[in-house]
Amino acid sequence: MTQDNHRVAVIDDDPSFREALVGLIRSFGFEADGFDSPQAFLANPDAAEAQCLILDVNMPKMTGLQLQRCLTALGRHRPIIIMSARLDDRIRAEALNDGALVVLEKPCEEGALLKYLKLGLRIFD
Amino acid sequence: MALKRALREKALAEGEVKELRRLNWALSAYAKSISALIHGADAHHVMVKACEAIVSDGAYVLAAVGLAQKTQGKPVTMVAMAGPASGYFDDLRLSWSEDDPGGQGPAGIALRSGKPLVSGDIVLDPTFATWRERAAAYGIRACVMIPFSRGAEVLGILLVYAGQTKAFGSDELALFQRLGEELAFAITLERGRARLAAAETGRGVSEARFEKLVRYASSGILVADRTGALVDANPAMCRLLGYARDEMIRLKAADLVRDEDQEFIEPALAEIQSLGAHQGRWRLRHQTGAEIIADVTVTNMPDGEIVAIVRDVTAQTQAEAAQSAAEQALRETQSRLSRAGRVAALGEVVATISHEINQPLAALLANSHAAQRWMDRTPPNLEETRKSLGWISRDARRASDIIKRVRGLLAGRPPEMTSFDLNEALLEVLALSHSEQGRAGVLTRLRLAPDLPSVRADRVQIQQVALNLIINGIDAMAQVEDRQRRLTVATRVTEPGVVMASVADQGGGFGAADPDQLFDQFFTTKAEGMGVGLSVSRSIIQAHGGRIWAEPGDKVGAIFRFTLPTSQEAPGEAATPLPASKVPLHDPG
Repeated sequence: MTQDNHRVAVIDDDPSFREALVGLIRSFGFEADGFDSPQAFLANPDAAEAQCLILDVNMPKMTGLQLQRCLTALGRHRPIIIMSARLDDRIRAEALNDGALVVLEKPCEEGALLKYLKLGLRIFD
Repeated sequence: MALKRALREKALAEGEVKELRRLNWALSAYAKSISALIHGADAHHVMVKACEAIVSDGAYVLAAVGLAQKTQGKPVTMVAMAGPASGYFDDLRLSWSEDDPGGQGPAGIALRSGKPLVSGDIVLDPTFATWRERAAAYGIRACVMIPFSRGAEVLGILLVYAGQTKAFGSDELALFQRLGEELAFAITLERGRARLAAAETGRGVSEARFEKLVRYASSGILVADRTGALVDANPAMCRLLGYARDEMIRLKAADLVRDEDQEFIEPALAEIQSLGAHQGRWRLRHQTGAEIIADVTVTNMPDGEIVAIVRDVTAQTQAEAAQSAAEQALRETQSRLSRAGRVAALGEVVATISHEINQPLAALLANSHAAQRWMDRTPPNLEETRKSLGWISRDARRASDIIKRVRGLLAGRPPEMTSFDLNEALLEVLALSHSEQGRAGVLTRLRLAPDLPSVRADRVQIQQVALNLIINGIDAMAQVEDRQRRLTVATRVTEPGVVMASVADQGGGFGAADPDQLFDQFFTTKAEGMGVGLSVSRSIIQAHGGRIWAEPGDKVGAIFRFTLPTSQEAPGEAATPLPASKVPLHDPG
């Protein structure tokens, strides 16, 4: 089974968590790229190849939720997984209203992450 | 025969004369007593007169009046006596108590029974045994006891002693009984008069007392007629409002009320008319125009006049107001403190710190999952596994470092003067507040001078100050939407031996507030309150021989700066930093 064509972008300003998450996603058998800010993601032409995004909420300058709205406005619709250590009902509601696939709390269980990644990557096995 | 008849006639005549003389005596005794009574003499005088009238007949050697006392032992007190044998009563103690030896004689018996008692010959009378010898010494041979009473109350006794036996005929007895009745009447009359006099006297006393009360009362007392014109005022009232009495009685009640309360006069008058009284707190006008606050009780008198009792409560009210203001201030302080407390609460600190620790732990978990997956591959991808395990070590160290830093900040250890690199210390603080910056969308710009000389200070306390300033700056920009939320942390050498650090924000600045006041305890321009942290920060910096101040930013915002002596210039021996335990770790409020 090859899943090389499945590509995930991780946008998180915390380097160690970003690297860890990219590593975990790669261990799932998918391609993954890390970006340290929404701006870096938007500026990178390769980022368009990602079929599913994992966004941190709390980042300077632009939050994950702002990036989500920005992508919608740009017409770049992608399944989005929101991930944060600081979640409340307001953030959950906002994220889901704006079209997020799911909101996960850091740290998350790999099973849950894999399930929603597959969903986001349209993998049905 | 003739002689015999003559002798009989003579005897008859003598008997007649004797009888007539006795009758005359009796009438005269009675008349004397009544006369004394009618002429308004007191009871004692009547008694004396009666006794004197009785002994005016030589047959009676002693007449006396004793009052039956109701006190302990029921003594009989001799109040009047007359006759040659008066010495008989000297040191004689009589009683009308059944249990008293002095009450066993005829007087006691008569008083107890309420009936007259005749002892025709005391020598033969066993009840007289105790006093027989004494009586003989005074030539007493017989006696009669006439108790007198008023209704059921036994008042006293009339005692008449004779020098011969059988001295008391029925006429004498009747006379004595009538005299007894008159004595009872005299006593009753006198008691009535005494009661009346006492009542009169009492009224005089109470009137005098009342006047004294009015004159010296600490409360003001006012009398007004039904038109509201003042009729009288006591000295306290005059003092209270600063008028002389004759000035005051030319005024109307309404003149004493300040303008603010004029509108309440009508309702109060209506209340007095309908209920007969009114009670209320009024703002009165002192003669000088000053405000006097008084509790006023107004009562409607039967004659239509109105009496008002006026108690000055100005001082009390001011004290209450002051107290209320003090309480209000206290409440505000408490509220500020609790706001500050909320922000600086351990829970908040823990939340911040737990988030900091959560990041490496989340990374650690993800790496651990990844490592397992790489191992489970066939064949196992050892290179990726090793990479993940390396990251796990790094994450664990990072979590451990955060815990160490937090412990260092929280522990109540004594101040520790060391030489350290201020830039490095500030970078650590920035790392600790990383999530705060991220959450608030704040971009931090560093302008740290390279080759900054090391400073000598308590590293943790300086980090607390820096953390305070950084959190302050982040909070100050919370409302900023129209420009970048930029926090600039800078260091430089301002003069030889002095290093300065600054934290500049792009927030709302101080407004009209004096930047120096920011460091005063509890001063705040924000609802969250920053003052406590700043005042503690100032204490720390000053204890290190440095300075801390605030100034307006370049175009917007605020810049907080503090200086510290470098290690070479000031070894820091003189510095006495605050104990770390006294300083809040994260005290933006």
